[in-house]
Amino acid sequence: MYYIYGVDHCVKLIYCLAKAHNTNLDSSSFETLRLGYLDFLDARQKKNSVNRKDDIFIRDDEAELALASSFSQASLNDLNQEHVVGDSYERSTRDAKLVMAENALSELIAKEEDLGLVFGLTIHSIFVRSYQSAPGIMASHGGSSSGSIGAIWLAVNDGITERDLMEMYVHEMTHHLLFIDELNSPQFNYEELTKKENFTTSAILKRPRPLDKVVHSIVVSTELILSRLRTFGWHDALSFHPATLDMQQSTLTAIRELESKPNADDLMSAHMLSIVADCKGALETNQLEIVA
Amino acid sequence: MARIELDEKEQKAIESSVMEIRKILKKRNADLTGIVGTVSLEKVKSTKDAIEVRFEEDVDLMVQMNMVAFD
Repeated sequence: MYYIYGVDHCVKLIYCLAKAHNTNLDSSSFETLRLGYLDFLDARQKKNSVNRKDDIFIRDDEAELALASSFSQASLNDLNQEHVVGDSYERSTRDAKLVMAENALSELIAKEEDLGLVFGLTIHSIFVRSYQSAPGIMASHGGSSSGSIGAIWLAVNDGITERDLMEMYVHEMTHHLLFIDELNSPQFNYEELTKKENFTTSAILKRPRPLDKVVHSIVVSTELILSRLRTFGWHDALSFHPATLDMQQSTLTAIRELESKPNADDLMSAHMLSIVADCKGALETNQLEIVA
Repeated sequence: MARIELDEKEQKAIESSVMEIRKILKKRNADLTGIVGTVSLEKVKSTKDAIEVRFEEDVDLMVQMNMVAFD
C-alpha cells in the first residue's frame, strides 16, 4: 500500500478512521492524528490492547500476553493460525531479540523516512514471542491480526538477520494498511469466502488458501518487490521471502488465477479488484527487467 | 547476528528507532494540513458506514483475519 499508493494515501486512510470516530478530531499534528487513531482502535477493537506509550516495543509480560491473545479463532483462519503464537521467551533472550528488532527498524527508517512516518502512525506495538511448535502447525516468523490492528508479532527465530526483519516490517505494515483500507472501503464478500471452492493459490506460500489470505499475499508480495527495487536494492531470497523474480512470477500467477475465477466479482468488491489490478500493473513494469 | 552495511549518512541517521519516528512525525507536521485538507466530508461519511459494515461482519460472520508469516 505504501509503495503502490504512497505516503499521502496511507495518511488519509488513517485520518478517515480517526475523523469518522471523532468529528472534533485535532488533526493539527501527526501526533494528535495518531492519538485519534488510537482512540478509534481502543473504542472499536475490544480484543485489541492499544499501547499509548512512546515505546512501541513491548517489554511488559501482561501487555505481551494480551496482544498474543488477539490471534483468536475465526471462520477464515486456516493453517491453525490461532495456535501459532507461542510462549514468552526467557527475559534475557527476549531483550536480545528486541534489541535486534529495534536496530532493524532504525535501519529501515534511516533508509526510507516516508515509510517511517506511515509506520509510526500505523503501528503502536511490536511484541516478541516464540512460535508454537506442534504437529500440524507450521513454523512461523511472526504475524498480524485484524483483531489487533497496529500490533505486530515477531518470533525473531535463530539465524534471521536484520535484513529479514526489515522486510518483515514492510510485510506486516502492509497487512495493517490493508486492514485499515478495509475499514474505509469494503473488500470481500465474506459469506462466500469461507467456501472451499473459492480458495485459490497464495503468492508466497503457493498453496490453496482462503481468498482474503491470497489477496493479502499478492499485495504483500508486490510491496516487498517494490521495496527491494526502491529501498533495499537486494534481490536474493532471504529467510522469509523468495528471490525477487520468483516472487514476481508466483504473484503474477496468483493474480491470473484470481482473475480467471468466473465469480471473482462476487467474491471481492470493485475496490479490492482495483487494488489487485494495481499490483499487476506494478509487477509488469519494465523495472523488473533490471533485476533479471 | 548478521548486519547490513550502511553508508555514512544512514549510519548517522540511526538513533533509537522510536525517537526517530517521533522526530519524523514532528518534522512532517507542516505537510499534514495539505494531505488531509483534500479529504471530503463525504469520504469520511463513507468510511463511517464502512466501519459499521466491517464490525458487523466481524461479529456475525466471525471473519477476523490472522495473517501469520509461515515457513
